[in-house]
Amino acid sequence: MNPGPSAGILGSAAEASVVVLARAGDRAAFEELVRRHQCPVRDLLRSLCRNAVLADDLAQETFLQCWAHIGSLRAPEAFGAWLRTLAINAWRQHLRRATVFGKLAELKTVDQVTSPMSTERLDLNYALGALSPNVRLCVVLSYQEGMSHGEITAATGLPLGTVKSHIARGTARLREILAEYNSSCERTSHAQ
Amino acid sequence: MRSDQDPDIRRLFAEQERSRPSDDFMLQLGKRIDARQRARRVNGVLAIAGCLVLSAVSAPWIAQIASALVDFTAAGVRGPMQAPVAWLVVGATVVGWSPVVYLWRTGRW
Repeated sequence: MNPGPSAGILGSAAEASVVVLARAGDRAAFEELVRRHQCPVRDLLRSLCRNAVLADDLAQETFLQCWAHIGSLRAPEAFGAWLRTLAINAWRQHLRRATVFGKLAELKTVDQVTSPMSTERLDLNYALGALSPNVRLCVVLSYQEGMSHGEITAATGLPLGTVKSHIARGTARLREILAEYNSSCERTSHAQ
Repeated sequence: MRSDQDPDIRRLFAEQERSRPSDDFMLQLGKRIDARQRARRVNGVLAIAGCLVLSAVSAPWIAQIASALVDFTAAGVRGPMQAPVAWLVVGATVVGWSPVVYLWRTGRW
């Protein structure tokens, strides 16, 4: 994907206008959208997958789906939310495939290799690995993406009550891990 | 920061390293889009070729069945003995066209 002559103009254009162009099949406009949104999408998927390579692969799948279905997007101003939903769906599809092919056990083994105590700072990826997929999804959307409960309900299709309880449960579990990590740090500093 | 969020957890998320825009990501994506479009074109050509072969091979049987159905319908219109078969043919034709009518009426064609 090489930036064409219109890349400069598109770079300063309003997002809704770029989306309208991409919807009409303009590849340069779509590339501009990828440029603008690749970091948030990759960050979201990295937090959900806890694996950078897999997250980038899913991010590409998300943008492929976006290119294939952008014509069906009615409201250009809702592009960001729509793209996030595509990313969540790509991750969920990956989870389903992993469950079907029995790869979850393998993924869990990889998670356990990274210990929260192995680094100077608490490894958030490790902590998120302790949460079930739906709880992790709600926590990441709330804390990382800054979405409200209503927005999470709309993006995930989970009922509002479930979203609230998932976030409360996830927060409590993360606090437990954080407390465990802090006490471990204190023990280490006392020993030294 | 929202009031319902835990400040420590919030800080933990804020301290996370963010990814940077990557040209390699764009390059890989471009290649995947091109590959998928190529695959779609090839599949389309194969599907059309397959349909042509299938229709050429099955044309005699389809013609035979169609003529038999037309005979049944004509017989049904002429005499009450064949009426159920005639209605079956008419019903099947209406049902067969209903997806087309639905798509046309809802603007999804």
